[in-house]
Amino acid sequence: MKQHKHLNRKGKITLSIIAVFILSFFFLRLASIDKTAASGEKIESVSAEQLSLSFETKKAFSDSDLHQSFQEKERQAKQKAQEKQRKAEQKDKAIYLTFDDGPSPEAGELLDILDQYNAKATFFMLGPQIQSRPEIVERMVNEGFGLGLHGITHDKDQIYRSTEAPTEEMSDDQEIVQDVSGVYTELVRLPYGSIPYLTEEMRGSLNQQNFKIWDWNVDSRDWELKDQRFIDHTIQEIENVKQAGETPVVLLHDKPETIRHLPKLLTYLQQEGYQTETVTNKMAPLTFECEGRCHPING
Amino acid sequence: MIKNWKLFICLMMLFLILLSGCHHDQKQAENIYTDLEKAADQEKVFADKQQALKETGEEEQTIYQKIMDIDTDHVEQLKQHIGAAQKNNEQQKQLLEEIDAGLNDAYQLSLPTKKVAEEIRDTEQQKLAIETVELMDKRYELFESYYKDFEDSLKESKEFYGQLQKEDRDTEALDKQIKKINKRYRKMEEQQDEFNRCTEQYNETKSKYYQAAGLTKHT
Repeated sequence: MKQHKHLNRKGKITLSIIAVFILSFFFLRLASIDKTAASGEKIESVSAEQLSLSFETKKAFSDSDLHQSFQEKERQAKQKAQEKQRKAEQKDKAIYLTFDDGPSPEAGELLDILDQYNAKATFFMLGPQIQSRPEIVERMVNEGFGLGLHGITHDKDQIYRSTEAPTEEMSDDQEIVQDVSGVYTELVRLPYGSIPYLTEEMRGSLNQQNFKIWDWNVDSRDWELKDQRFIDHTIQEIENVKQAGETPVVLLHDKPETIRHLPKLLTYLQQEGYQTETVTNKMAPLTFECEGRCHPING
Repeated sequence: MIKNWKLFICLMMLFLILLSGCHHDQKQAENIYTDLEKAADQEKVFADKQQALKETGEEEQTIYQKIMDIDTDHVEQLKQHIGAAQKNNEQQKQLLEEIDAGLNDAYQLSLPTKKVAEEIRDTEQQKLAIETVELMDKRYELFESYYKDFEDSLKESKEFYGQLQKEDRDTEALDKQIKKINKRYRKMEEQQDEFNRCTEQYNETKSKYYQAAGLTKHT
């Protein structure tokens, strides 16, 4: 027999009160949320701030009047220094003897002759030649001769083949000189001189690497005349340059014919009271100006 | 009859649970609202100082232009302008630090929100609250990177003016320095745009959360 339990009257009333209470609370809560939403009551909300700074780029310094003014001043200072150097050299009767293409197998003999006359000179040397005779380069350093760079290939089709090619060859040569002698040199002589194959762009590239391009104002023509005639020709050219108020920078070559006749030239210089000097990194270089004569080797 | 009243009691219990859940999320929303609004109020310092820095930066541009137009023969005038530019650089540095402190204070006020957001029971509300917190974090990170670049640009400007007044100044290096500064300015402009985009997103997400939590209807 199924038994049913019934709540008595009191129980029913209590349960009803609890139910009414809970339901009222629930509906009131809902009503309150609905009221907020329905009425559109806004709870004030402050927005986070933005960044509002402006950055106008600055005018390029190189385009400014100040930059031009600085450059003009630098140019004047350089000119002044060159003038001072020129005057000092004139006073000392300075002369720069320069030898290209070495060090040759006869370079030792060349140094002996120069030592004999107490003459200084600067050697623009080729990388492979330096590597073949490092001891002679060390001797040059020990005896106070100047070291310069002449590249690696001495082949005009190679060294002038591209804008960067001369810089690359000179940089390689520079490294070889430094490895062998510990001397850091920025002095450069281009094979066949900087005219006509060294273009403005190539000059720009070399300048950027701080290389100083040295040409000459006396061509001994030793490579062509090969005998006493080159001595006579050189002496004549030196006189001409002196008369023009310039300091002679003489192009010679480290080769047997030159070495054989060199004592005659050195005797002349000694008799005339010339002071042979070495070229240094700090000096303003003597460089042929393009003046429309430079062109690419294939151009 | 006994079955009926047992069912009745169960239903009542369910109502009670539901009610306590709603009440809990409501409480979290109120806490989040308080913290985020305090943080937003604090950002007023961040905004006010920006105006001052903007004006100081514009002054520096004017001084720079004056310097660029000068001739080296006017040495005294040049020195004077460089001095003014260096002083201006210090002022910019000071203002930048105040701006950084302003945002940092605001960020600190918003930090408790992270924990509160994780405790929200309603999935949609929790998602929006966490997204809001994450956007605030991102804003802060973006500003820190922007601040670093700004600081570097001031250092570079200081170096530039320092070099400029030297006798043995390197004009090529000075030109490079200006190019470097301009490059940095362009980077900072991009960073500023990114920060502002993030701020817009933050404001929108925050409003959406308030709405979902029943705190407000409209943004």
